[in-house]
Amino acid sequence: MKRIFVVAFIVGYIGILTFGNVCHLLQYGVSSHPLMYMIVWDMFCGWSAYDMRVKIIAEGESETYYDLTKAPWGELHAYGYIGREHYDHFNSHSGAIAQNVLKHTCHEPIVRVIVLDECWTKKLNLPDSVWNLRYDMPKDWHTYYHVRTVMLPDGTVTKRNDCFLTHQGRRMAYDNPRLVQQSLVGRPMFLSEPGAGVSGESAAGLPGARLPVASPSAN
Amino acid sequence: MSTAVTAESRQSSGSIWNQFFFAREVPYGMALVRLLLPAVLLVDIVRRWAHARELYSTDGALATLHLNFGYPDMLPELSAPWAVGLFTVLGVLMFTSAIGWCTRFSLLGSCALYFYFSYMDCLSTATKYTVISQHILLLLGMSNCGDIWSVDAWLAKRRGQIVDPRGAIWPQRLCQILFGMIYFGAGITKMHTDGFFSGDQLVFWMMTYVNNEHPLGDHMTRYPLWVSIGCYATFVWEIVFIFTIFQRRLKWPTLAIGTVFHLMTVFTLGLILFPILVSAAYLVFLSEAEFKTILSWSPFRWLSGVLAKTPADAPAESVAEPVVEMPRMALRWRFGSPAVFASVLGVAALVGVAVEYQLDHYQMRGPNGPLPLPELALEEVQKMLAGDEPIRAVDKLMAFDLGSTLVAEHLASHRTVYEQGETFFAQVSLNPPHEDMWIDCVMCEAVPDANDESRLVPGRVLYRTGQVIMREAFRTNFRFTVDSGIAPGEYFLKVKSGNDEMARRHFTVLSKDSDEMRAASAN
Repeated sequence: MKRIFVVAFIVGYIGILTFGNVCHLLQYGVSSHPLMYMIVWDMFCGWSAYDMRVKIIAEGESETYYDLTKAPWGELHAYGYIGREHYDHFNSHSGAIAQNVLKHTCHEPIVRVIVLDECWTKKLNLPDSVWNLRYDMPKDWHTYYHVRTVMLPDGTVTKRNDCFLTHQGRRMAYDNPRLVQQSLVGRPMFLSEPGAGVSGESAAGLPGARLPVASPSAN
Repeated sequence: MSTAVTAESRQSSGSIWNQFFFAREVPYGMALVRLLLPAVLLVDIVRRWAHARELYSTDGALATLHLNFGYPDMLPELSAPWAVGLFTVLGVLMFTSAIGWCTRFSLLGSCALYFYFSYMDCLSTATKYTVISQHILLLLGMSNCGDIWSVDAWLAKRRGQIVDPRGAIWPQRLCQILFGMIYFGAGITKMHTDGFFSGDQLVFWMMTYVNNEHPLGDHMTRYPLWVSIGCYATFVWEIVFIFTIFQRRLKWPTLAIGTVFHLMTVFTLGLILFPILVSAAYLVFLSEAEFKTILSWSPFRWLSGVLAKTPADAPAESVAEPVVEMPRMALRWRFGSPAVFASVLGVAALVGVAVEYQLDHYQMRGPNGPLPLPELALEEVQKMLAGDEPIRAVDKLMAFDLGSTLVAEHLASHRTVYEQGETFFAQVSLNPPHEDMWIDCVMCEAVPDANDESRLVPGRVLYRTGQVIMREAFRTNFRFTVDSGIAPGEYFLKVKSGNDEMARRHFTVLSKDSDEMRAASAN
């Protein structure tokens, strides 16, 4: 009897692992259930050319702005030297992080919370010794900021945008009079888009705009 | 005749199955993994313990993995005392797994709790190495790895019990198959990843600073050709792993390559825990015979004396020695051990909750609590909220390199000294996303800077060429021949997009039979 259970377990276990790999190979159903994370081995999920950090700021009634990114009680650097909010590539949890910091700190009444992407090209990360070997020009550091979400202090989202790279990809695609003309042809005079009040941009992606497809758990 | 052959082949395949999964061995490899893996994971757990309230409880900022998949209510959310208490229990269970006290319960318990806490924090706990660890903890819990080198074995010995640690090796085989599947899946991921085989994605990863320092990775970004070759080699190794790992001749070379591969991720990508953990888990590939062979090597021979007294040799001894009557103390241990174990867990949880409460993670109860929010300078905020700006031309450029040999799409070597008559390539690599771009490549004389004569700057334009780079392309090449019209001297190549200069490279042209050229080549 025990042997039957053992054989069933062996067959079941190998079957589940195989199922995960087949789904991964066919790119079918990999996000269908949280348990798929246990059997899909997407350790190298793609990295963009821009380094990205999350910045969460709160605006008080007095128009003073506060930094919610670095909690005053200290932060955990789980995998290196940056806080956990920077691993939230889908922007699913920044609201919870902001509310937690507000809940446990002393501050004036807050009127809105803003989540921003802070980005720069990754080549600027290279140490100067390596930079000087490859580039004849000095580093010209430039940081881009992009508003990702605007929230009320209770977490209600009032505006949500795509990430910096998708936004820039769309901007580049739309920098084309023919494309803009075609997109306007046939558009109804009275446009009704579900969720238009919340979402500032369409969710469609563009070629060349790279979105991470999983948490940076390649670690 | 045919019936006999069929029966024989059926029997043969049955014996292969039995031999593969049900051969009986002392689980030395699994026991070593049991000793090492929880100890490594304990580092992660200890680091997160002080933050357990914030990461895993409703009094913090939960970031559940199942929410990302659209299942927000898959697992219950715990209040702070429960979360801290259970997280403390997880740490204790990892420790008792390593020392082998109530081993099976410890391993399965730590697997269940680790799974729960990983899913409750996808930002700073759940990673693929936690997933791999959970699989291995589950399989260790199903094995008899606690029968050797453990508190359980010591207690059994005290009780006078004779435990035969030999058992069916199917949990160890499943661990080995798990590794094969992981690498096969990782190979599939690489197949799906745009720009992986050209090395571009890995180069971007090497420039990413979300992990630890990786000095070798910084330097490797200059050699994308070598990165690309490494990408192909990694892919092939990952795909064939499951086919070679069960071949006696190929097993150890395959594991050696794997160890080097994971070690390289420390220096090139700044990963630390993942390679340590996977290298430790490679010990599941160690069979009983191989372990004994290693012990016969001179550096380890002194260990064989210690290990010879392990219960592995107990059955043979048991024939010779009479069974000793169990002392009263041992009798108490038999019943006491699980009870003591449960008490330790309970006390640890309570102490954990009390200590964490006293530590006051959010510093709410101190004389200065709750803490004030840090203010931001108005100029800084104005900069952040100024609105989106288009990406600058200089940021769309990844690199501008010169070289004479092109292999695949990469320059095999970077050179800035050329002889008259030579041909070289100026390679422009771009950062995605970028639009369809017209790129100008301009050759200029080098002239002394008006302000600093020791410094050369681009002067008169000698030649200009250009081409379109489509939005999906990473790079393009400009081919130049240094003809006799180009006098020996110093020059610049500039890359421009519209009126914006993106990059420049200084290079030197020497006459055909210049000694200087020979010297430069020799260097």
